[in-house]
Amino acid sequence: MLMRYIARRIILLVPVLLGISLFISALIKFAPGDPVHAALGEDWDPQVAEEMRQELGLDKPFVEWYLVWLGKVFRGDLGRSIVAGETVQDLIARRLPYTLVLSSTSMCVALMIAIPLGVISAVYKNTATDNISRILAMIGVSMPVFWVGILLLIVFAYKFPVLPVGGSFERYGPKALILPSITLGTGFAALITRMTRSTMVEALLEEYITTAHAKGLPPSIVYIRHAFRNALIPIVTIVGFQFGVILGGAVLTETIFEIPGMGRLLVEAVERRDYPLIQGITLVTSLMFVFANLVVDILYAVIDPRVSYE
Amino acid sequence: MNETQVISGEQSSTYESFWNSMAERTREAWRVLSRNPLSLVGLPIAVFMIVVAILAPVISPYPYEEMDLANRTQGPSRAHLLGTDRFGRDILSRMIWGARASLSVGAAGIGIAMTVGTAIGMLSGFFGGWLDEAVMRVMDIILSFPYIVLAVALIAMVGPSLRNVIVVIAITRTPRFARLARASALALKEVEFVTAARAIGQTNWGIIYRHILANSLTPIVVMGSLTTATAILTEASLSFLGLGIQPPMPSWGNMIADGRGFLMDAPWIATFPGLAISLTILGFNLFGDGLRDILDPRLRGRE
Repeated sequence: MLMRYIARRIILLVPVLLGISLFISALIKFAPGDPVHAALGEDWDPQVAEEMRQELGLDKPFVEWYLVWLGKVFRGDLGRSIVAGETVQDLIARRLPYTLVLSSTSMCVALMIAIPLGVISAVYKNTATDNISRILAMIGVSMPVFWVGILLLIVFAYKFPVLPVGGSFERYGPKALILPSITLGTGFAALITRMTRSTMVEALLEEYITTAHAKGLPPSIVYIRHAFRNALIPIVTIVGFQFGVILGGAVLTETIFEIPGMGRLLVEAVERRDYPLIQGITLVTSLMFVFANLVVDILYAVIDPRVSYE
Repeated sequence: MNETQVISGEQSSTYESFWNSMAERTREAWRVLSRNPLSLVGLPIAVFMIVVAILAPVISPYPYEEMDLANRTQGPSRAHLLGTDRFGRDILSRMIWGARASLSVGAAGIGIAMTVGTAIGMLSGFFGGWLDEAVMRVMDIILSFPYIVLAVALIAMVGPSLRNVIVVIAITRTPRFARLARASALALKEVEFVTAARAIGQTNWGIIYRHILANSLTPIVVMGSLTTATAILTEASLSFLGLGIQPPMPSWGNMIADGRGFLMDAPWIATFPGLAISLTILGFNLFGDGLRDILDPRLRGRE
């Protein structure tokens, strides 16, 4: 009944998407102060202000406003940035790739380290290796992303000038990705290590593991083909949910390393009260997040058929 | 003993027995904690930070805004134990006041989230129906934004200030408590002592308050400790971006942002506040983890 499960998941999305769109479209309308005033600055011409207000549609009642906004969004028109003058969708399209590259590199590197570490930690429970990795993971989870970035900068870019201080990989090559990826990936890796360890420990306590050992299977098969596969299931969901946290962390990482990504664009937009841009970025990120969660949910149902029977 | 306790037998169904079972569990707790000494470390750290925050006006060597322009960006010295920043302000003092800012914001935000979230979740789970569906959809909507993005967007709406950071933290953390409380309410709704209580004419509100809430407190407290850690992180992140606590009021986050321009010459300005944040979050995480380990019956038996 996988199809039914998928269909149900998608239908449940509708109210959520509705809510998201309502909230985002309301951002500019219910913001205190006058966004037009804020954008135009000190000496504003009432004529220009009035035109701007009409162009943004601020004088319409909310329902009409929302429907117009929704129509535009479906056509791919996210408005025009008040400050930059470009269309929001162009700005986002230009800067999104940097964020995506940073996020995926960080996640991949983190997963490549965290999952094996978590498995080893669980299999060799309570040994020195396990205890050290647990302590490291605990510390990793507690360090703020931006502080990790700054520490790395101090050590690797200033005190021992080995790596570039920041900037995009376009201009400075893949070296520029190293520090940001480590920064963004550390918290994520620490969390995944802990999760992997705890799900593996639980999986290893199950009865089918004892059976597998009793059958005379070599330990590697027992651990990898049986325990690990089952432990993997909750990890997949966590990874999907963490994607949203990574996007958030990207905001901070891009700010520190001066990467021209979407996260930093959001901060700049808030500083300049550039509401159409804020709306656009919030919309895109939440859509990506919702979509990622949907994919993970479906994946989860594919891996574990019991889920789709609920 | 009241009628409910007689009928329900062993089940703890009042606050009295909650405290009794807490005493018993504390004894067990020591046994479990001694096997996992790390979590014992968490509590003193958290308490230390809280004490520092409370005693800030008393223990701070200098006022946080006092500038000493002759001694700008000095390293750690006898006069200034952790150095000075670019205006000559004492970093140690600012960190102490920063503890006050960060912890009070975190506590207030989580306090609100816990109260409102638990109330909403419990009522929603207990009464069910379309109210439940509606409330859960709203919680889902809040949860469908990456939390920093939501926090930043909310700040964009209401403007950066200490009070608004509390509101933002409260809003972003409420769904977690709501879900937890709802799950508890759903699970406990059908248990015998609730049916029994109904049979003797206990009102709905009475049931919710005396039975369901009392029995759900422990996971909520665990969640409280863990979310306090995230709340402090959120406040620090917002302040770092300039969207939280505004200068000259010190927050660990905005102190790190201040130090960004001096990484080459005065790295201590940015390093020490970050150390404080990490330590505090570590303390609350360890404590919450330890608490959860104690309260999870499965882990207790097997490890």
